[in-house]
Amino acid sequence: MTTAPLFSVVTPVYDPPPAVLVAAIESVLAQTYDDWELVLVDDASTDPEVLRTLRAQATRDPRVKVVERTENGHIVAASNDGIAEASGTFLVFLDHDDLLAPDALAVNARRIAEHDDVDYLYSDEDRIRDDGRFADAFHKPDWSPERLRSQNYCNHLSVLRTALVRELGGLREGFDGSQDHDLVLRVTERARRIVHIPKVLYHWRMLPGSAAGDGSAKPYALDAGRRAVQEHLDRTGIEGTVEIVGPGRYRTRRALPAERRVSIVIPTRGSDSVVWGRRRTLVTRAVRSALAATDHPNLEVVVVYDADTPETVLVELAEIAGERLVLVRYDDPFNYSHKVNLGVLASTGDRLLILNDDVEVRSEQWVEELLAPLEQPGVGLTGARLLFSSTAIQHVGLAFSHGRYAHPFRRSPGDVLGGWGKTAVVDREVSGVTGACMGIRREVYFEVGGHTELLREDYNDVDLCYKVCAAGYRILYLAHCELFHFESQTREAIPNPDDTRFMRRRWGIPVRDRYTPVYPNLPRPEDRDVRLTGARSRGSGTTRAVE
Amino acid sequence: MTDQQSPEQWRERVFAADEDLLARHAELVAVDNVIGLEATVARLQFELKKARERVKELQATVRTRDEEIAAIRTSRTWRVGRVMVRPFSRMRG
Repeated sequence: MTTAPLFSVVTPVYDPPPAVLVAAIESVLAQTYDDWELVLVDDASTDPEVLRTLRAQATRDPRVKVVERTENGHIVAASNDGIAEASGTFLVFLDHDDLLAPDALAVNARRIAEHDDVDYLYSDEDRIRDDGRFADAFHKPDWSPERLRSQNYCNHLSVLRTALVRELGGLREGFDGSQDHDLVLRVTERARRIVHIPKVLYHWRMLPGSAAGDGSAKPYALDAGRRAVQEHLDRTGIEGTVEIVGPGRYRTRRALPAERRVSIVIPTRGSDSVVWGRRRTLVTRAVRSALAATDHPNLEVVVVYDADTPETVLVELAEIAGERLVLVRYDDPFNYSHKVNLGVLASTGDRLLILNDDVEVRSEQWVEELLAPLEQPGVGLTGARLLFSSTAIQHVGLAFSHGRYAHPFRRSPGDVLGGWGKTAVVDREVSGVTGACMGIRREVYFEVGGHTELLREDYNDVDLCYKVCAAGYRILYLAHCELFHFESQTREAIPNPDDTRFMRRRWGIPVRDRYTPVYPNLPRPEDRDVRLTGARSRGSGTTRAVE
Repeated sequence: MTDQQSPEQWRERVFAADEDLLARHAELVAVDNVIGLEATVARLQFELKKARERVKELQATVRTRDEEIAAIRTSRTWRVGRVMVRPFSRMRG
């Protein structure tokens, strides 16, 4: 247990409206936790009223310090002056127009007291509208390094160990506008422990020209952010290049080594379906699009086909894939997991790409996109963004919460970003990905026992994801790898109750998802609990065994 | 159909399962079963821990209530009240 930490709240100030500046200071004075100091750094504001306000505020409480810069140095220089002046164990950055929640420091102090080695804490945030109301709460994921490469999702409120920030040299010149993203990337590379506090502790004011009001208001910040992430990749040994894909959003392109042997495993019964007004054989369409959208040279296609698959389909597959095709005949009663496991056993690839037959690849270089992140040892499984034929969202990662294994944003229009956090369009850690398209390293697949054959129809992919997480690997949703999944958009598959019971017996009832804690299509109350016949209800307090 | 392909060529691409594959499949299934059992044990241990904590909480509550009841019963108010209502309890038989 540590003693009560002293927080140094650092606020660079440059020409804010005096009223919002006072409100920001008041929010610190109103903290329920007493061990803090407020370091206000005036960055040579042009409005003399600002300095007068700061000096007046400093007389209200001895814990308020004012640093007066003689020339405007911008956010980085002003923040670094504040860091130099700070005497607290932890730094807290507060913008001059924002507000801290009254218990912000108290909640952080409690979490620090639980762990001596915590170096970085972040919490949820919302925005202050023009009328003063709080809105648009961003309920953040637990620690999600892939997402931090895609966007600065940690942002406010960040609490950082002062000694570590000083050791890193504080904020870096040349990264103005994304200096906080750069700092969080550097701090989290070195932090011994990172804590997410799932509570709104920071209110971000939407002023014209501020990043809260308009994500594209600071275009110079985007390039700084891209460079910050690129340098992070270089420091951490991740081979890749960073591109800007939108305001505050980045994409890491990684290369898949040519020597990697890739096996695309597709179970099928050779059925056809009407897609975009035409009847098509699903598996041939899937294989054709899969091969057309990759240049990877070292690849095989393993098709596990039911005995009653029409021979014409197999002939066409041989035409499409040629020497790269491996056919595995399946004679047993339907068991999806068994089929996939046999396909994997028949494959020779050290990277496996498991695919449903009712998909069509939409993205170029999709194999590379999906499998290259598996070069990182901590990544065990990857998944793609799937769209219905209408281009509505089918899958952007799974969320295990409220007793359900759900597809957040399912049926939302394809251009939905996913709220303030842009959850639908950023690469990020997820609790699970659909079995319709997943990439996995061969050794991980065997380490976790593949797909459980005790689940013939439903949730075998969810179970696999649980096992991969339990083995200590991360699962990534890759927003820039896109496929169509010709699943019915209007018909909701009703899970087999036996499979639901099996999942709950094995893993418990999911309560809160670590990576997508809140999303728009949370289950309806009446859907939350499937009755467990033959077993007593375990109640809502149960959580999954593996966190 | 390409020149190199014949309608029957797909048959050459059919994987031939052997004993080794069956053995590896059995191993895969066994690993899954072990992980499943470990997960179930972990879940039950977690639930047991929570249940024990709840039992402790409830036992503490019962102890507190017992102490409160004992304190009430030793109070003068209670004893005076008992004396006053004793005739009624005799009437009740």
